[in-house]
Amino acid sequence: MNVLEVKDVKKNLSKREIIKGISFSVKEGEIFGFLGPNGAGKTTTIRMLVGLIEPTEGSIHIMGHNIKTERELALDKVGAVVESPELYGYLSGTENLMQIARSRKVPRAYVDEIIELVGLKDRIGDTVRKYSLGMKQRLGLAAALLTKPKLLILDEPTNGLDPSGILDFRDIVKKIARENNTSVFISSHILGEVQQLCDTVAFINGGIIKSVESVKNDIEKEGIESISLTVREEEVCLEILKSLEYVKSINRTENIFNLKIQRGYLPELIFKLAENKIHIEEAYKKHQELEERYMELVEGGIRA
Amino acid sequence: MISLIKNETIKLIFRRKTLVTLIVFIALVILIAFGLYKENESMVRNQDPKYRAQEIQSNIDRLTNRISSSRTSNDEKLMYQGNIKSLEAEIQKIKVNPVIVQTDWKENLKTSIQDIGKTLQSKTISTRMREENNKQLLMDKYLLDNNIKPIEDHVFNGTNYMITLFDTLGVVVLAVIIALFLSDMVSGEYTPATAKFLLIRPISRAKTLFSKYVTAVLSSIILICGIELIAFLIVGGFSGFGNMHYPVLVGERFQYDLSYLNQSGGHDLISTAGSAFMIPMWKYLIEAFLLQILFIIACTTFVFMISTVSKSSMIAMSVSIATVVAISALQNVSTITKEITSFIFLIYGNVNAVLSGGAAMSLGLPYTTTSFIILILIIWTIASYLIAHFVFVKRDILI
Repeated sequence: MNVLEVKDVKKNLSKREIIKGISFSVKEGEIFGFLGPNGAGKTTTIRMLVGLIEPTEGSIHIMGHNIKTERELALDKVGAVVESPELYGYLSGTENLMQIARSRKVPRAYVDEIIELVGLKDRIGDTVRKYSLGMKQRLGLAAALLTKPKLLILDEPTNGLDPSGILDFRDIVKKIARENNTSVFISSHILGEVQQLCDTVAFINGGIIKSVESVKNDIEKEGIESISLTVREEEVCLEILKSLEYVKSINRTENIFNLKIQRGYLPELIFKLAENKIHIEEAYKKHQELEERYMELVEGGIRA
Repeated sequence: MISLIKNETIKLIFRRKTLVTLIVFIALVILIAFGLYKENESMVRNQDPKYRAQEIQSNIDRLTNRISSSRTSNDEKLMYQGNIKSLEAEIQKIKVNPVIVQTDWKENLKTSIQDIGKTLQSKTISTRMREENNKQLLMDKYLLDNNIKPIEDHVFNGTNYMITLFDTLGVVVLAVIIALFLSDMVSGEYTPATAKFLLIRPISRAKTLFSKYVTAVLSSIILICGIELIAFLIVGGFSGFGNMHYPVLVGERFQYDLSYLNQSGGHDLISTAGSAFMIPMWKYLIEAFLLQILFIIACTTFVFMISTVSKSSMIAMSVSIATVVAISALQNVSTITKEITSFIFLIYGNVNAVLSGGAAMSLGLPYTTTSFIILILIIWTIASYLIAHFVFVKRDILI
C-alpha cells in the first residue's frame, strides 16, 4: 500500500508555475529522498503535502485520503518539519511539545520518551529562545514524531546539525522507519545524506521530477567504484594502471588519479602498486555515483 | 476544542506583551483613581469656610499691595478699595455663620422642585429648557420620595469612580489597549513561522482560528473588566461604594428642532419629551459593564480581523491603532464625517454616553440611540469575524 501518492500536481504562485506536474509515490516503510538544488520546488511540494498550500491541479493522497477533501484524516498520520523548525521562543521545550500533545491527545509519558529519543533531556526545560539551531532541529523532529506518524516528512532536516548530530539524526530516522514501519520523506540538497539514508531518491529541478531511482540497486547494478589515488611515482604508476584489466578508466591530474575500477578490486590494486614500489600517499573510494547522477539529471551533465 | 483554547491561553500568558499590556492598563486605572481623588480633595477644600476665608484674605492682601504701589493710578486705587470692602464683607459673613453650606438637603430639594415648577409654568420657556427642567424635576422628586441624599459627581467613591473610568477609558484607551494586546494574535504566528506547526495538525483551519478567537475575546474581557472590578472593589473598600439605589437617567432620545433654524442652516437637536427614564445605580453599572463587554468583543474581533489579514504583527498593530485614533479624530471634522463615523463602532466606547443617550446629542444625529449602537457593535463583530475566517481558511501559507 502506498502511504503517499502524488499525482500530476501543479502549483502556480502569483501566476508563475512553480511545480509543473509531478507524480510519485512512497511505499510503507520506505525512506524516500527528494533531491534537488535550491529553488527546485522541494519546499513548495512539501507545503502541498501537509496542506499548507493547495495544489493548482492534481491530487495528493496520504494513507488513501485526499488532502483537499479529507484534510483531517489525511494529516492524522503525518508528522512534519517544514523548512526550519520555528517554535514558540518564549515557551519551554516541554511546553512546545505539550502544545501538540494536548491537541492530539498524546500521553505525557510518551512526550518524555520522545524527548529522551532526540537527546534533548537536559535542556528541555529551557525556553526555546535559548536553543541553538541544532537543538531546534531536534525539537522539531520530536514534535514531528510525537503522534507516531505513518508518514514522516522532513525538509532539509540536518541543517544546523553538527557531525555527531547528523549521525544521531540518521540513527533516529532509521530506527523509527524500522520499528514503526514509518515511511520517511526527506528533502535535501546534501547528496551524502540522501545516499546514506534513503532507499529511493527522486531528482527534482525546475518543478519537474527528472527521475525516481533506487539508491542501492543502482550502485550494485553497475558494479563500478570510483577511486582517488595520490602517488609519488606518477609516470610509472600510469603505466601499471593501464595494464590492469579491472581498471576501467583513468583520469589524471598531476599525481592524483581518478579511477573507475571494478567493484571490490581496490585491495588488489594497492597490492599491485606496492609490489612495483609505488609510494601511495592516499587512496580512497569516492561515493559519487549519486553525485554524478545528480549532475547528469539536474545540471544537465557532469561538470568538467 | 477545549485543549486548543488551553493551548492558546498558555501561549498568551507566556508572551511578554501580555505583561506589558497588563502593566499599562493597571497604571492607567490607578492614575484615573488618583485624578478623581485629587479633584474631590480640592472640591472639598474649596467648600471649607476656613479655607475660603483664607483665600479671600490673601486676595485682600494682594490688592492692598497694589494700592501701596507707586505705579497704580488713583482711579485704580479707588476700584481696589471698593473690591477690598466687598471681600471683607464676605469674610465677615463666613465668620458669623460658618456652616452656611450645611443646609438640610431635603429642604434644598423641595425648594428646587418648587422653582422648577414655576419655571415650567412660564409661557416663554424654550422647548430645550423645558426638557432640561423636566429631567431635573424627575431626578429631584425621585431623590425626595426615596429619601436619597444627593451626591455630587466629584465625590470619591466606588460608583463615581466606575463612571469616571467608563468615561475616560471608553474614548480611545480601550481600543488602543486591545490593539496593543491582541494585534499579534494571528499575525504573530507568521514571524517566527509557528503557523506551520499550528496548521499541519489534523485540525481544520476554521477550528484553529475559532479557538484563537475565543481565547482573544475571553482574555481581553477578563483583562479589562477584571482589573476594573478589582479597582472598583479597592476604591469602594476604602472610600465606600456610594448609594447603589441612586437614580441614573438613561435612554434619552433626541429629535431635530424643526421650529428653529440655526446659523449653519440646519436644525439643532432637542430632547424628545419624556424619553429619559431613571434606573438605580446597581442596574446602571451592570448595564454599563455588559455594554462595555459588547464593545470589547467588537473591538477584539476587529483587531483580530486585522491581525488575520496582515501577516506582520507590526503592521497589524500600526493599522489597528492608527484606525482607532483616526476615527476618533475624524468624528468631529464635519457633518458628513460625523454621519460616516456614526456607522463605525469605534466611536461608541464611552458606555456612559451610549446609555444616557448623550452619544446622539454629541454627534448631533438623533438616530444613534442605545439600540442602534448595540446593533452596530453586533454587525461589526459578525462582519469582522467572517472576513477573518474566509481569509484564514483560504490562505496559502508560504512562510
